[in-house]
Amino acid sequence: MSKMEQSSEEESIVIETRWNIPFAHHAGRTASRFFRAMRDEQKIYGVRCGQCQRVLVPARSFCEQCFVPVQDWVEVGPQGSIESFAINCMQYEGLPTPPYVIALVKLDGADTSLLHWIGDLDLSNVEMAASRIPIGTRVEAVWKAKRDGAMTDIAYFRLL
Amino acid sequence: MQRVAVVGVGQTHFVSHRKDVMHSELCFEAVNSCLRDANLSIDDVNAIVFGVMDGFDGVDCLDRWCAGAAGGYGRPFMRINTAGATGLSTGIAAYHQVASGLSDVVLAVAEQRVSESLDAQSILNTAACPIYDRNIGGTAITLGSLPATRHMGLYGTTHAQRALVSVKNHRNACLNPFAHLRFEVTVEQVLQSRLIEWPLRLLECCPRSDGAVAVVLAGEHVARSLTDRPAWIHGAVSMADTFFYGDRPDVAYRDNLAVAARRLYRKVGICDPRKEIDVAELYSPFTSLEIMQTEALGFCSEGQGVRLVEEGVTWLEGDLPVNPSGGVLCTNPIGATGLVRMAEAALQVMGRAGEHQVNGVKTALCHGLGGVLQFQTLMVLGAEPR
Repeated sequence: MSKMEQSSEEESIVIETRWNIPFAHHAGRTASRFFRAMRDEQKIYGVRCGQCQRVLVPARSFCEQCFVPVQDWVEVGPQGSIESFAINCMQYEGLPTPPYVIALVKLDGADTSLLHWIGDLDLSNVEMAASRIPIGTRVEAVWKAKRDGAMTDIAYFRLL
Repeated sequence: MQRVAVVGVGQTHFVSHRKDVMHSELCFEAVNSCLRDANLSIDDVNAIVFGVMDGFDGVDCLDRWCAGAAGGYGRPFMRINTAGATGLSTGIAAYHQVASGLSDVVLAVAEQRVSESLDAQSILNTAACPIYDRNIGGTAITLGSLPATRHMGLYGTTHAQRALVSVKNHRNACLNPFAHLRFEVTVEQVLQSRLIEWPLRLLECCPRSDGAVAVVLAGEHVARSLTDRPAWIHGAVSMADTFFYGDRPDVAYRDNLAVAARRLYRKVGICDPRKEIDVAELYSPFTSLEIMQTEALGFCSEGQGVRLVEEGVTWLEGDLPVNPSGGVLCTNPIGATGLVRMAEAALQVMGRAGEHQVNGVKTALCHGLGGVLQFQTLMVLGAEPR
């Protein structure tokens, strides 16, 4: 066999590369105002669409459905109810330490849900924990002591 | 406008890691297999539409790496990306090119090499909105787990009922030589497999697969000259929904898929999907999604999806087999997956699906899903032109 002929067992060479690239995402006027209200006033705001009348949370500058700008700010929450949830049991790079409960929380006064965590829950038995938070369970935002203008200024939602 | 048919398909074997080829070579393999299947040469092809999702490969603009391998040298070439729905969006773009009459033969090619990223979830994290969502830690599994919990709460669906979907699809995959996971499982094995993201367990979740697929589409005149049994495309729809997961009433992607399905059925003249569709290949990476998709597509009423699998309707021998190839639950080369659905639907219509062929298929439905239930794509293929 010549050197250029390959057998199926032949070593496949591996070239290792890495992406490690910093980014800076500008939140813009609307999201910045939303985050400032969380950071400075511990308040959660949505915006009401003048056309469909839905209160959209988190706040945004336009309604995708009606395709119009929105600017009518409305305070929502801090209480709400669980629309659905899941309990992540796997560790992923850059994500919280498992197990943790991720949930869609519909805040009082809002027509949409917020993706966030349910905390203060004994997760030693996941099945049992899940049975404690059926859809509709009432929850309330718990604020972080030191807030820096991010969705994580809400530390988690606790059961009421 | 001209009528369009699928006249050939080519798939690579889907596996965890294709170590014997580099990325572009996967494309070359699928395209050659497809051209052989259609008895065409690359010189017969007018244009190429190429689909792949970003990130997994650690190489930006994969269209550059793969254009030549897909047959694009010296030919019109474009790239499509709608996350998980990429594959079927690619097929639909090729369909539109031929239907317009501006091209007679167009290749749709899609591929993914999920194995090249040593941490695929890190890639998927970057698909979440960096301003509002990203640091909350929703995962790829979350798109199946949140609807699953909702379905349990609203309709009393049980873990064991969802497990039946896994049993069915794994059984089907054993009959498909191209499928990635080819082993049978029992309900007990599903229920005892590792908890990934409650309520979903390992055997309710798709694998990460490497592989490529190509489908060649031709206008009526060319299609009839090539084969007496092409798969005629009756129609297709695609739709984008909101970027915000929490904006969907009822968490349910059922809403947007139901809307897309109604549009498609109106377009192709389907009144009773349960009776008029003979087989469906759906983008169901989780057991929960297959159940909800069969509801959204009108195969049963809302909340009754589990009954279809319990009563055997969606099994290979049933009235309306769903995912006879083993589906996405057993094979998921993400950006290619939607085009695999189209290829499998075409094979069913052409009567060439092999051991997982469904008897007497006249009408087949295929589906693509992407972007955390944001993009929905659907296509109907038939044995007769419409």
